[in-house]
Amino acid sequence: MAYEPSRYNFFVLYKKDNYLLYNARSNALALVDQDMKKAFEQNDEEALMSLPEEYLTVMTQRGFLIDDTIDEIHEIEYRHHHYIVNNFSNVVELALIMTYGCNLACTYCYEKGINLKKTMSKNMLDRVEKYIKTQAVRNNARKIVSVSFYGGEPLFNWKGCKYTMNFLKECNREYETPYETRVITNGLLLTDDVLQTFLDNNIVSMQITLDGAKKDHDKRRKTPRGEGTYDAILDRITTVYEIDQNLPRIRINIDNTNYHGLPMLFDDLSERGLCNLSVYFGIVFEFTRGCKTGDSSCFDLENIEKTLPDLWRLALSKGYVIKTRPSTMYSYCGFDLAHAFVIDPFGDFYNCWNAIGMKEWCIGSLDSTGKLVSNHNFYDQLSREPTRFEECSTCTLLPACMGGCAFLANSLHGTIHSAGCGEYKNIIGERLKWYVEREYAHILEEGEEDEAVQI
Amino acid sequence: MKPSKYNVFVPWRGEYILYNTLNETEALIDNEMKELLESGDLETLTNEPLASMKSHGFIIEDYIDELRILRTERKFARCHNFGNYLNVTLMVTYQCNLACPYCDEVLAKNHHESMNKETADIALKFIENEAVREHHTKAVDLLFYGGEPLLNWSCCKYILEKLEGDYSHLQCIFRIITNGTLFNDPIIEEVIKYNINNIDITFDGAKPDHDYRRITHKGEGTYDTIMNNLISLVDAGASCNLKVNVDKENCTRVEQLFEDLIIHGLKDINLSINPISYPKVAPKRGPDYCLEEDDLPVFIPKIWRLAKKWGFIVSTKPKRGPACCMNTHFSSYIVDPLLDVCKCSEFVGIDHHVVGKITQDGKFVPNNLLYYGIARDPTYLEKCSACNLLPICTEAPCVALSYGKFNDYYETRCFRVKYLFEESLRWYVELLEIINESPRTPQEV
Repeated sequence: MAYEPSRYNFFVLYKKDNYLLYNARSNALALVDQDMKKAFEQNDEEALMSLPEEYLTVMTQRGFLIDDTIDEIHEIEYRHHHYIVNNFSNVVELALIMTYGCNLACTYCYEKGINLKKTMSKNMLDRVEKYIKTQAVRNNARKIVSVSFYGGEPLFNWKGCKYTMNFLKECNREYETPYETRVITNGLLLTDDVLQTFLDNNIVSMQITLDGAKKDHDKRRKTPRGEGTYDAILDRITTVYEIDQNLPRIRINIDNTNYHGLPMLFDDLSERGLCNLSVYFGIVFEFTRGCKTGDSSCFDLENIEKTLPDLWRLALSKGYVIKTRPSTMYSYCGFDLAHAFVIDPFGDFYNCWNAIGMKEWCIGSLDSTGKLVSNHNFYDQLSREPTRFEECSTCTLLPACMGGCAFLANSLHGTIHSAGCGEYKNIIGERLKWYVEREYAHILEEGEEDEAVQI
Repeated sequence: MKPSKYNVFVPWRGEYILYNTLNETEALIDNEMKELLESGDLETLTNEPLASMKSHGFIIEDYIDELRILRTERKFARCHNFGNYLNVTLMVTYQCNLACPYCDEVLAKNHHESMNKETADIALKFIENEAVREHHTKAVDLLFYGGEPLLNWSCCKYILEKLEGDYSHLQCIFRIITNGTLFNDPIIEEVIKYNINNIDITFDGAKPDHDYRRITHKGEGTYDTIMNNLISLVDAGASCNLKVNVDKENCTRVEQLFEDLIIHGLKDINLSINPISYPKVAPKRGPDYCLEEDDLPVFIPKIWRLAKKWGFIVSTKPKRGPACCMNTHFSSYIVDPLLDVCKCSEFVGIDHHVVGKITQDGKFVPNNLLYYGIARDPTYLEKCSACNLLPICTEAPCVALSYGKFNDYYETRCFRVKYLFEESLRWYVELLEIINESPRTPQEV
């Protein structure tokens, strides 16, 4: 059998003459020297075949070298479609915009430009229920129903949330369809009662956003009267955390003007005893027409690879791990999936959370019988095939991003049928380096430098 | 506004049948309307016909990309997994008690293996693994196939019993494709007991033709045996589908078969006409009676008319295809006695078409060919993406046909759908007239 280097090998200079070698298809990572990098890049058969056998075996097992009859792109396309088919048979995944209204008046809110105030009515939720039942019970299946409550501020329509959870429970009793819930909330309305109801309804995550340290957060995430919300939100996060540390997922929005305050934020989180809190950075950049940050406060994507690693280091120094290791994925997000949709209070369906309220992105509507009546966007959007885009099909990172964000692709190229790379591509090297530095620095310092290390 | 790219015009008694292959809609139109639609100059259309044309999908909005509709429907067709069924064909044996001169399988390979209890157990584990773990379903559509599956009926029975016992959590429907010669009273009783719902049996035309081709190894004809077994099966309440192979040679006498079926009280049997062409995959051998592409419209419509004369209605309305064939479907497998897995019945037993193997613990280990084959999407093939018959291409188009001619999965070779389309449509309209249902005109809708 003849071998050749995988087309999904990605090199990044680590230290001195050593390179990290990441394979996006197999998700394996190794440290190699310059000669090895050259041999791989030039497909130097002689150099590759002269490798010690055990070394060659590892490189083959981990997918850096492949049997030359394998066409990797077909395997990736297979995995992508298999993932779609597999999930469709197993899950109904819906994000429900419980209301477009909100109890906050954040300065940058992208949904503000949508200018809608509609709330999900009982009548519309009845249609959603019918839709869920048909999807979850059809054709011999008993699918898992996964509902994310989103808004606006979903808890602004708590009555609707409760009503939804009641019918999910009922459906579970009647048809044995398991269900789980998630909520994306600003946290202010998370009273003990609300929290208990979620706990009774299989809540798996509560995503709450902070806009940096108190002084920054309070300037942006404020009530319509202009009052800051930092302390109230932290109070609720603490309550949730004390019940289940794994429940809150804290998105920390960072932009050009607030990241300097992060040390204070992390110190405050520690002081409040939130030591194992799951945190990640939400990078604020101009994304939708509702976006109000189209000014200097938007994160400087040009310099992102210089700025972000410092913030990762900072977080770790304060005891918080920002996960940066790239990972093989089968689909970038729900956009390509046939089982995952967003439904808004008008009964309109969307494939993308960023596109809600924009009628030109709507893929169809629920009719009174709970049936999705699709329009031409449905066919256009669901036929997006990243493996068929020229830019993606030749990209070494395709299996780790699967075409990227369709919404961004449309902004960048005027069509969703193109690559939506975003900041991902620019910082993947830094992400890998930081991951290795964080997890394996002690091994690498002790090991011999010219030896490939399997990570 | 623009005309749909899937409008097809077929001359019909001085007018045209307009058929839209994407929406399965039809209308009778005059030459003026045809020219209008072909030119795309729709401005002169008045409101009423325009609205009607739009509602039937003959005219669509400019922003609609119909190829993307097909692409997305294909995605969903694969998601729905044939109605959430795992589709498994078990080749319980490669052996056959007949020696038909044209048999693809004899030409393609030299296998004689049969499944035994041990391999059947592994195949059952595989079915459970794939159904429950991979496809999240308990529903299995199981087809017994061969060779001649009734030669290994004991193994079929073993599998049926196991599915009723250890695997009773699976909800199965059973089908069998057989030459029909080996049925006897006990087997028929078991067929009914195990609820084998679909029994596919083939005749090669009338008795003289059938007995010339579908012969035992000793050269004896099998027509009478099959006919008697068919009668017994129908009498016992089994659901049988009769496939009639037709070609240049037997088509002139096929009427005798229809008459015979009526004489034997089989007027309600589900009957289909199967044109015999050169084998799809096996090396090209050339009996003179095989139908070439251009022969199809000459010979086949005659058979439809003859069948109708004896009360058998062959429905020929061009219908939407399955959007993907078994070869590109995730939930369909053909398992042979060696536990090799194929995706298409035309490919069984041919090593270079094997897409994976089943391990002793019932796990499916795919190879590169599975990925390569499944990635074939006709909407990306140049010839297919430009073809206005693509939505009704039940051959999807046929991978085996393409491979047979070009040695390549990614080529396109058209056959029945293309070469029989016009005649199918005319016969469909003629049948509508016969049963007093004139085709709708746009004005009438």
